[in-house]
Amino acid sequence: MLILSDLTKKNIIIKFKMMVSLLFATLIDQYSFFHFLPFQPSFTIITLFYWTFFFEYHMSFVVVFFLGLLTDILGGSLLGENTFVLLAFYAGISFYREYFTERSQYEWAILWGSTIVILCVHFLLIWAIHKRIFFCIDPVIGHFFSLLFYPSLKRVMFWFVGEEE
Amino acid sequence: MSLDNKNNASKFYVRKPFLKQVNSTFHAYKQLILFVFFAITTLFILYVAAANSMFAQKARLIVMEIFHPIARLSHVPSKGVQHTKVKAHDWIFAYSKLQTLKQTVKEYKEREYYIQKLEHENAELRRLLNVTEAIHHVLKQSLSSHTQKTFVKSLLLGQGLNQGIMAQSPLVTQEGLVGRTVESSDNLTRALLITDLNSRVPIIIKPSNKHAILMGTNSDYPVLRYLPYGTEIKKGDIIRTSGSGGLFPAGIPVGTVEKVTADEAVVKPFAKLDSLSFVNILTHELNTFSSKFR
Repeated sequence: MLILSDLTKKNIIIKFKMMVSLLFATLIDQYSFFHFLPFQPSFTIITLFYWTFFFEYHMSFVVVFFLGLLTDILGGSLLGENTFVLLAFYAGISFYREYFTERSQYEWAILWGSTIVILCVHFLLIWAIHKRIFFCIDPVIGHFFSLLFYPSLKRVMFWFVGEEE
Repeated sequence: MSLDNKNNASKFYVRKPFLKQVNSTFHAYKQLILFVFFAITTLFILYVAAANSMFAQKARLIVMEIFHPIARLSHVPSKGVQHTKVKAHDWIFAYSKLQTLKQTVKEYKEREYYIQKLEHENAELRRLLNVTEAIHHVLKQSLSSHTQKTFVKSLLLGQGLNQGIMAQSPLVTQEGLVGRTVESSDNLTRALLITDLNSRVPIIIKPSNKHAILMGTNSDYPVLRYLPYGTEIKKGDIIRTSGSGGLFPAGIPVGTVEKVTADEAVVKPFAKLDSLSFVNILTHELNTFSSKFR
């Protein structure tokens, strides 16, 4: 009989909640739940940020890779496009957290910084794929709304995970 | 207990992406190797997908079929909101809509006689000239989902090959051209809107009769490219499909020229792409030499 310690049980539950929340955010995003273009926040990005920032020990490149693939598949973008952007986003935040600060500070600065970086990465990627310089204001507005939604999402997520802020 | 303290207290099981403080050399580089591995894998997938590989399309459709039931469920409230919005709009503007409809019916009735005459004449001339042309059947489809994201503009239809919908079929509404289907599995079809960055439609500009290509920009307004040198375009010119390439039948209304700059002309599509509920799919059936003499 398999006996799990409390810590292991807790880890499994948190991992399960992480998967559910990321999947839910991806589905909401990809199926344009709100029909509010360009004011449509990217829930995948802010949910991923939440997990990476507060529970980095549960996140891994494997999870981010498959999340990105799912985003591409459901959203109809080129396979690998969002995967690469999400990998860069995750790696950037993790690297910063480990090498610059382990404390939960500069949260907004990291969120703003990483959002700007992923916007640039996405535009560069589109330029590389389509051989066209592509810039439109819609993604910028969308990400701005993501940042506005972030505090609410964070509260909901802390409630969902059962942790104190 | 704060999160920072918790992190420090649980260091023995903490897995960090770049593992700065670890004992063995292998683990020190494990996450870094994983990052490099996944980044290279992603770039490879991107390269394969950009080369329009059939394998990538098949894989995408298989996963989409798996997630489609969940996605449909998640889309139910959204559809409800949209339906209520449309219904409220209809109720508020019912009287003015009725007047417009009465006027439209009157106009159509007046034109009916001429249309019948022209149809008869057209059929007779085709018979005499032995003209062979693709016949398009229209399939009305409700949308399963509508992905209008900043980097991609596509539709998902809840029917596929089993219902006779194939890839590369034009999508239209009463107003005009919407896009084309790009991938079809047994029960799902994904379509690309004319506003998507990957969309290219051969068009003809009326009244100048010049040919060009309509390219999506991922904004609400696609642009005209490859215009012949010296083409004069002005605001309000009508854009229709030219039929070149054989993918889109000639004459489908696409939009009007909204703005003309030194480099390009911006087009406003006739179809309301942000509030689609139903689309018509034109499925090809060639009434050609081979089928005539089968």
